[in-house]
Amino acid sequence: MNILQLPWRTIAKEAFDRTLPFVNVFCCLHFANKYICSSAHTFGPSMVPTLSLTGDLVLVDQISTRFGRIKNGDIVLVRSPVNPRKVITKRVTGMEGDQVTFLEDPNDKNSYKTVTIQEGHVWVQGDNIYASTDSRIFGAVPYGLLCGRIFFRIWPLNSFGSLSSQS
Amino acid sequence: MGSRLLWKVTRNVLTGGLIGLTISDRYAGIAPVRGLSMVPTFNAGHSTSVGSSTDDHVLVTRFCLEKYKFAAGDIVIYRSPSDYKEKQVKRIIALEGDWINVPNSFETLQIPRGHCWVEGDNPANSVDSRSFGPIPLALIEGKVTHIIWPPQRVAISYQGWVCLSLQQCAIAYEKDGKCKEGKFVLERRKIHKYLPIQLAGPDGHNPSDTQAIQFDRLQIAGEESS
Repeated sequence: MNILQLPWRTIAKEAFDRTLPFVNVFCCLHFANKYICSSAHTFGPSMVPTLSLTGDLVLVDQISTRFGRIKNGDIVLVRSPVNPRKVITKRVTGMEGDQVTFLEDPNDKNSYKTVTIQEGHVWVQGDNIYASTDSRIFGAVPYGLLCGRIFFRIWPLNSFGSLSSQS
Repeated sequence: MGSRLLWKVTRNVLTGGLIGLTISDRYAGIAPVRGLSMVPTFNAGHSTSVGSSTDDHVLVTRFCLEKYKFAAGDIVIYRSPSDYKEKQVKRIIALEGDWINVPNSFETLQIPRGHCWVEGDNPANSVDSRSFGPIPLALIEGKVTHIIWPPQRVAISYQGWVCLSLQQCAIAYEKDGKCKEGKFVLERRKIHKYLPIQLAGPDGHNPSDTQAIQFDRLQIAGEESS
Protein backbone atom coordinates (compact mmCIF):
# COMPACT_ATOMS: atom_id res chain seq x y z
CA MET A 1 0.00 0.00 0.00
CA ASN A 2 1.31 3.39 -0.91
CA ILE A 3 2.29 5.41 2.12
CA LEU A 4 0.92 8.56 0.55
CA GLN A 5 -2.55 7.10 0.40
CA LEU A 6 -2.89 6.83 4.17
CA PRO A 7 -5.44 9.27 5.58
CA TRP A 8 -2.79 11.55 7.08
CA ARG A 9 -5.17 14.35 7.79
CA THR A 10 -7.42 12.14 9.91
CA ILE A 11 -4.47 10.57 11.71
CA ALA A 12 -3.03 13.95 12.60
CA LYS A 13 -6.38 15.21 13.81
CA GLU A 14 -6.89 12.13 15.90
CA ALA A 15 -3.42 12.37 17.44
CA PHE A 16 -3.99 16.03 18.23
CA ASP A 17 -7.36 15.34 19.82
CA ARG A 18 -5.94 12.55 21.93
CA THR A 19 -2.94 14.49 23.27
CA LEU A 20 -4.75 17.75 23.92
CA PRO A 21 -6.35 16.62 27.21
CA PHE A 22 -2.96 15.59 28.59
CA VAL A 23 -1.40 18.89 27.55
CA ASN A 24 -4.32 20.66 29.18
CA VAL A 25 -3.92 18.82 32.44
CA PHE A 26 -0.19 19.53 32.45
CA CYS A 27 -0.80 23.23 31.83
CA CYS A 28 -3.45 23.43 34.54
CA LEU A 29 -1.09 21.74 36.98
CA HIS A 30 1.67 24.16 36.06
CA PHE A 31 -0.66 27.13 36.52
CA ALA A 32 -1.89 25.91 39.91
CA ASN A 33 1.63 25.16 41.08
CA LYS A 34 3.18 28.37 39.95
CA TYR A 35 0.44 30.89 40.64
CA ILE A 36 -1.83 29.52 43.37
CA CYS A 37 -0.52 26.82 45.66
CA SER A 38 2.10 24.10 45.54
CA SER A 39 3.51 21.54 47.91
CA ALA A 40 7.04 21.26 49.18
CA HIS A 41 9.08 18.88 51.24
CA THR A 42 11.24 20.55 53.84
CA PHE A 43 13.97 18.97 55.90
CA GLY A 44 17.08 19.94 57.76
CA PRO A 45 17.91 21.43 61.13
CA SER A 46 17.53 25.12 60.38
CA MET A 47 13.80 25.48 61.18
CA VAL A 48 13.68 23.26 64.28
CA PRO A 49 11.39 23.36 66.32
CA THR A 50 8.78 24.77 63.90
CA LEU A 51 9.48 22.25 61.17
CA SER A 52 10.94 18.92 62.07
CA LEU A 53 14.39 17.66 61.28
CA THR A 54 13.30 14.57 59.40
CA GLY A 55 11.04 16.17 56.86
CA ASP A 56 7.63 17.79 56.63
CA LEU A 57 5.24 18.01 53.71
CA VAL A 58 3.89 21.53 53.55
CA LEU A 59 1.64 23.63 51.33
CA VAL A 60 3.16 26.74 49.78
CA ASP A 61 1.06 29.77 48.93
CA GLN A 62 2.32 31.42 45.75
CA ILE A 63 -0.02 34.40 45.81
CA SER A 64 1.43 36.43 48.68
CA THR A 65 4.94 36.62 47.25
CA ARG A 66 3.64 37.70 43.88
CA PHE A 67 1.63 40.58 45.30
CA GLY A 68 4.13 41.67 47.93
CA ARG A 69 2.03 40.53 50.90
CA ILE A 70 4.92 38.94 52.79
CA LYS A 71 5.24 40.31 56.31
CA ASN A 72 7.39 39.79 59.35
CA GLY A 73 7.11 36.32 60.86
CA ASP A 74 6.08 34.46 57.70
CA ILE A 75 7.86 31.22 56.87
CA VAL A 76 9.04 31.43 53.28
CA LEU A 77 10.84 29.44 50.64
CA VAL A 78 13.89 31.33 49.43
CA ARG A 79 16.14 30.54 46.50
CA SER A 80 19.57 30.49 48.10
CA PRO A 81 21.72 33.45 46.98
CA VAL A 82 24.80 31.28 47.42
CA ASN A 83 23.59 28.34 45.35
CA PRO A 84 20.75 29.16 42.92
CA ARG A 85 19.82 25.50 42.52
CA LYS A 86 18.90 25.17 46.17
CA VAL A 87 15.70 26.38 47.82
CA ILE A 88 15.86 26.97 51.56
CA THR A 89 13.16 27.45 54.20
CA LYS A 90 13.50 30.42 56.53
CA ARG A 91 11.44 32.87 58.54
CA VAL A 92 11.23 36.53 57.54
CA THR A 93 12.39 38.65 60.45
CA GLY A 94 12.80 42.03 58.80
CA MET A 95 11.42 43.96 55.85
CA GLU A 96 13.05 46.74 53.84
CA GLY A 97 14.00 49.76 55.94
CA ASP A 98 13.87 47.85 59.23
CA GLN A 99 16.78 47.64 61.60
CA VAL A 100 17.71 44.12 62.58
CA THR A 101 19.80 43.16 65.57
CA PHE A 102 21.30 39.70 65.59
CA LEU A 103 23.99 37.65 67.25
CA GLU A 104 26.93 37.10 64.98
CA ASP A 105 28.02 34.12 67.00
CA PRO A 106 25.03 32.44 68.70
CA ASN A 107 27.23 31.11 71.51
CA ASP A 108 28.57 34.54 72.41
CA LYS A 109 25.84 36.66 73.99
CA ASN A 110 27.78 39.89 73.46
CA SER A 111 28.37 39.73 69.71
CA TYR A 112 25.41 41.92 68.79
CA LYS A 113 25.30 43.54 65.43
CA THR A 114 22.64 45.86 64.00
CA VAL A 115 22.09 46.44 60.30
CA THR A 116 19.56 48.38 58.27
CA ILE A 117 17.94 46.43 55.44
CA GLN A 118 18.32 48.11 52.08
CA GLU A 119 15.50 48.78 49.65
CA GLY A 120 13.76 45.77 48.14
CA HIS A 121 15.39 43.26 50.46
CA VAL A 122 14.18 41.09 53.32
CA TRP A 123 16.00 39.58 56.27
CA VAL A 124 15.50 35.82 56.61
CA GLN A 125 16.63 33.71 59.53
CA GLY A 126 16.16 30.12 60.63
CA ASP A 127 14.35 29.38 63.87
CA ASN A 128 17.31 27.35 65.05
CA ILE A 129 20.02 29.98 65.24
CA TYR A 130 22.69 27.42 66.05
CA ALA A 131 22.35 25.45 62.84
CA SER A 132 21.14 27.75 60.11
CA THR A 133 22.81 29.40 57.14
CA ASP A 134 20.81 32.57 56.66
CA SER A 135 20.97 36.34 56.40
CA ARG A 136 23.44 36.45 59.27
CA ILE A 137 25.92 34.94 56.85
CA PHE A 138 24.92 36.15 53.39
CA GLY A 139 23.09 39.33 54.36
CA ALA A 140 19.61 40.46 53.41
CA VAL A 141 18.21 38.77 50.30
CA PRO A 142 16.40 40.53 47.42
CA TYR A 143 12.62 40.11 47.56
CA GLY A 144 12.76 38.53 44.09
CA LEU A 145 14.37 35.42 45.58
CA LEU A 146 11.32 34.52 47.67
CA CYS A 147 9.34 31.77 45.98
CA GLY A 148 6.42 31.11 48.27
CA ARG A 149 4.97 31.33 51.77
CA ILE A 150 4.52 28.15 53.76
CA PHE A 151 1.12 28.18 55.46
CA PHE A 152 -0.05 24.62 56.06
CA ARG A 153 1.49 21.35 57.13
CA ILE A 154 0.14 18.08 55.73
CA TRP A 155 2.62 15.54 56.98
CA PRO A 156 3.31 14.25 59.66
CA LEU A 157 -0.37 13.79 60.38
CA ASN A 158 -0.15 14.44 64.14
CA SER A 159 0.88 18.02 63.50
CA PHE A 160 -1.54 18.49 60.58
CA GLY A 161 -2.74 22.08 60.55
CA SER A 162 -1.93 25.62 59.66
CA LEU A 163 1.47 27.07 60.47
CA SER A 164 0.64 30.40 62.04
CA SER A 165 3.09 33.19 61.53
CA GLN A 166 4.69 34.59 64.64
CA SER A 167 6.82 37.65 65.10
CA MET B 1 -27.04 28.35 19.92
CA GLY B 2 -25.39 31.69 20.63
CA SER B 3 -24.43 30.79 24.17
CA ARG B 4 -22.98 27.53 22.94
CA LEU B 5 -20.72 29.32 20.49
CA LEU B 6 -19.69 31.76 23.22
CA TRP B 7 -18.82 28.88 25.53
CA LYS B 8 -16.75 27.23 22.84
CA VAL B 9 -14.84 30.42 22.11
CA THR B 10 -14.18 31.07 25.81
CA ARG B 11 -12.95 27.54 26.30
CA ASN B 12 -10.59 27.77 23.36
CA VAL B 13 -9.22 31.11 24.50
CA LEU B 14 -8.67 29.78 28.01
CA THR B 15 -6.91 26.65 26.77
CA GLY B 16 -4.72 28.65 24.43
CA GLY B 17 -3.85 31.12 27.16
CA LEU B 18 -2.93 28.37 29.58
CA ILE B 19 -0.74 26.59 27.04
CA GLY B 20 0.93 29.86 26.09
CA LEU B 21 1.55 30.76 29.72
CA THR B 22 3.05 27.36 30.45
CA ILE B 23 5.37 27.54 27.46
CA SER B 24 6.51 31.05 28.30
CA ASP B 25 7.07 30.13 31.96
CA ARG B 26 8.93 26.91 31.39
CA TYR B 27 10.60 27.03 28.00
CA ALA B 28 10.76 30.30 26.12
CA GLY B 29 8.95 33.60 26.01
CA ILE B 30 8.99 37.01 24.42
CA ALA B 31 9.86 40.18 26.28
CA PRO B 32 10.12 43.82 25.20
CA VAL B 33 13.34 45.70 25.95
CA ARG B 34 12.68 49.20 27.19
CA GLY B 35 15.15 51.98 27.70
CA LEU B 36 18.58 52.74 26.37
CA SER B 37 20.74 50.68 28.69
CA MET B 38 21.54 48.05 26.05
CA VAL B 39 22.19 50.35 23.08
CA PRO B 40 23.52 49.44 20.53
CA THR B 41 22.67 45.76 21.00
CA PHE B 42 18.99 46.50 21.58
CA ASN B 43 16.94 49.58 20.73
CA ALA B 44 19.75 50.97 18.59
CA GLY B 45 17.57 53.36 16.67
CA HIS B 46 16.22 55.20 19.69
CA SER B 47 17.10 58.69 20.72
CA THR B 48 15.00 59.04 23.87
CA SER B 49 14.44 56.77 26.82
CA VAL B 50 10.66 56.90 26.43
CA GLY B 51 9.20 53.53 25.50
CA SER B 52 7.66 53.31 22.06
CA SER B 53 6.11 50.80 19.74
CA THR B 54 9.45 50.25 18.03
CA ASP B 55 11.01 48.70 21.12
CA ASP B 56 12.97 45.59 20.33
CA HIS B 57 11.27 42.39 21.40
CA VAL B 58 13.55 39.54 22.33
CA LEU B 59 13.28 35.80 22.73
CA VAL B 60 13.96 34.70 26.32
CA THR B 61 14.83 31.05 26.83
CA ARG B 62 14.53 29.44 30.24
CA PHE B 63 16.45 26.20 29.70
CA CYS B 64 19.46 27.71 31.45
CA LEU B 65 17.47 27.84 34.71
CA GLU B 66 17.80 24.11 35.16
CA LYS B 67 21.49 24.29 35.99
CA TYR B 68 22.08 28.05 36.29
CA LYS B 69 25.12 27.76 34.07
CA PHE B 70 26.06 31.04 32.42
CA ALA B 71 29.05 32.46 30.65
CA ALA B 72 30.46 35.95 30.69
CA GLY B 73 28.92 37.75 27.72
CA ASP B 74 25.46 36.21 27.99
CA ILE B 75 22.60 38.65 27.96
CA VAL B 76 20.14 37.79 30.72
CA ILE B 77 16.84 39.02 32.05
CA TYR B 78 16.59 39.26 35.85
CA ARG B 79 14.47 40.74 38.60
CA SER B 80 15.88 43.96 39.91
CA PRO B 81 17.39 43.42 43.38
CA SER B 82 15.81 46.62 44.65
CA ASP B 83 12.32 46.13 43.18
CA TYR B 84 11.04 42.62 42.59
CA LYS B 85 8.36 43.75 40.14
CA GLU B 86 10.85 45.22 37.72
CA LYS B 87 12.77 43.12 35.25
CA GLN B 88 15.98 44.25 33.61
CA VAL B 89 18.00 43.09 30.63
CA LYS B 90 21.76 43.30 31.01
CA ARG B 91 24.91 41.50 30.00
CA ILE B 92 26.84 39.27 32.41
CA ILE B 93 30.38 40.59 32.67
CA ALA B 94 31.83 38.34 35.35
CA LEU B 95 30.78 35.22 37.23
CA GLU B 96 31.51 33.89 40.71
CA GLY B 97 35.17 33.80 41.55
CA ASP B 98 36.20 36.32 38.88
CA TRP B 99 37.91 39.55 39.80
CA ILE B 100 36.59 42.85 38.56
CA ASN B 101 37.68 46.48 38.78
CA VAL B 102 35.12 48.41 40.74
CA PRO B 103 34.32 51.50 38.67
CA ASN B 104 35.38 54.90 39.96
CA SER B 105 37.79 53.40 42.45
CA PHE B 106 41.03 51.49 42.53
CA GLU B 107 39.51 48.51 44.27
CA THR B 108 39.24 45.07 42.76
CA LEU B 109 36.45 42.87 43.95
CA GLN B 110 36.00 39.14 43.80
CA ILE B 111 32.47 38.14 42.85
CA PRO B 112 31.03 36.10 45.75
CA ARG B 113 29.67 32.58 45.38
CA GLY B 114 26.41 32.30 43.49
CA HIS B 115 26.58 35.87 42.24
CA CYS B 116 27.42 37.59 38.97
CA TRP B 117 28.28 41.08 37.74
CA VAL B 118 25.87 42.56 35.18
CA GLU B 119 26.26 45.69 33.11
CA GLY B 120 24.44 47.37 30.27
CA ASP B 121 26.16 47.82 26.93
CA ASN B 122 25.58 51.54 27.19
CA PRO B 123 27.48 52.58 30.32
CA ALA B 124 26.28 56.17 30.12
CA ASN B 125 22.64 55.22 30.49
CA SER B 126 22.41 52.09 32.58
CA VAL B 127 21.66 51.23 36.20
CA ASP B 128 23.51 48.00 36.86
CA SER B 129 26.06 46.28 39.08
CA ARG B 130 28.16 49.43 39.04
CA SER B 131 25.57 50.96 41.35
CA PHE B 132 24.14 47.98 43.24
CA GLY B 133 27.01 45.49 43.18
CA PRO B 134 26.95 41.81 42.21
CA ILE B 135 23.51 40.18 42.01
CA PRO B 136 22.56 36.61 42.98
CA LEU B 137 22.31 34.25 40.00
CA ALA B 138 18.97 33.11 41.41
CA LEU B 139 17.40 36.42 40.35
CA ILE B 140 17.97 35.53 36.69
CA GLU B 141 14.81 34.54 34.85
CA GLY B 142 16.15 33.64 31.45
CA LYS B 143 18.72 34.13 28.75
CA VAL B 144 18.10 36.53 25.87
CA THR B 145 19.07 34.83 22.65
CA HIS B 146 17.44 36.54 19.69
CA ILE B 147 15.77 39.72 18.62
CA ILE B 148 12.49 38.71 17.03
CA TRP B 149 10.87 42.11 16.47
CA PRO B 150 11.06 44.48 14.58
CA PRO B 151 11.70 42.25 11.55
CA GLN B 152 14.47 44.35 10.02
CA ARG B 153 16.59 43.82 13.18
CA VAL B 154 16.22 40.06 13.38
CA ALA B 155 19.53 39.47 11.62
CA ILE B 156 21.52 41.28 14.27
CA SER B 157 20.75 38.79 16.98
CA TYR B 158 24.18 37.12 16.92
CA GLN B 159 25.79 40.24 18.34
CA GLY B 160 26.01 38.77 21.79
CA TRP B 161 28.27 36.10 20.42
CA VAL B 162 30.55 38.57 18.66
CA CYS B 163 30.81 40.70 21.71
CA LEU B 164 31.63 37.64 23.78
CA SER B 165 34.58 36.72 21.61
CA LEU B 166 35.76 40.30 21.75
CA GLN B 167 35.59 40.32 25.51
CA GLN B 168 37.71 37.25 25.69
CA CYS B 169 40.25 38.88 23.39
CA ALA B 170 40.37 41.91 25.61
CA ILE B 171 41.07 39.64 28.53
CA ALA B 172 43.74 37.69 26.69
CA TYR B 173 45.57 40.89 25.84
CA GLU B 174 45.74 42.23 29.35
CA LYS B 175 49.40 42.94 29.85
CA ASP B 176 49.76 43.90 33.46
CA GLY B 177 50.31 40.31 34.56
CA LYS B 178 46.96 39.98 36.26
CA CYS B 179 45.84 37.26 33.89
CA LYS B 180 45.74 33.90 35.53
CA GLU B 181 44.11 30.68 34.59
CA GLY B 182 40.40 31.23 34.68
CA LYS B 183 40.73 34.27 36.92
CA PHE B 184 41.13 37.65 35.39
CA VAL B 185 40.50 41.27 35.97
CA LEU B 186 38.20 42.76 33.38
CA GLU B 187 39.17 46.14 32.09
CA ARG B 188 35.81 47.75 31.59
CA ARG B 189 37.08 50.52 29.40
CA LYS B 190 38.47 48.09 26.87
CA ILE B 191 35.36 46.01 26.64
CA HIS B 192 33.12 48.91 26.00
CA LYS B 193 35.45 50.19 23.36
CA TYR B 194 34.84 47.18 21.15
CA LEU B 195 31.14 47.29 20.84
CA PRO B 196 29.98 44.83 18.22
CA ILE B 197 28.26 47.37 16.03
CA GLN B 198 31.59 48.46 14.59
CA LEU B 199 32.44 44.92 13.64
CA ALA B 200 29.18 43.61 12.32
CA GLY B 201 28.56 45.99 9.51
CA PRO B 202 25.19 46.99 8.12
CA ASP B 203 25.32 44.12 5.64
CA GLY B 204 25.11 41.71 8.59
CA HIS B 205 28.56 40.30 7.94
CA ASN B 206 29.46 38.03 10.81
CA PRO B 207 33.20 38.01 11.51
CA SER B 208 34.71 34.77 12.65
CA ASP B 209 36.64 34.35 15.88
CA THR B 210 40.02 34.76 14.28
CA GLN B 211 38.93 37.89 12.47
CA ALA B 212 37.67 39.30 15.71
CA ILE B 213 40.99 38.60 17.37
CA GLN B 214 42.88 40.26 14.53
CA PHE B 215 40.60 43.25 14.74
CA ASP B 216 41.16 43.46 18.45
CA ARG B 217 44.91 43.18 18.12
CA LEU B 218 44.89 46.00 15.58
CA GLN B 219 42.86 48.14 17.92
CA ILE B 220 45.19 47.55 20.82
CA ALA B 221 48.26 48.18 18.70
CA GLY B 222 46.71 51.42 17.49
CA GLU B 223 45.96 52.45 21.01
CA GLU B 224 49.53 51.87 22.14
CA SER B 225 51.16 53.71 19.26
CA SER B 226 48.97 56.78 19.62
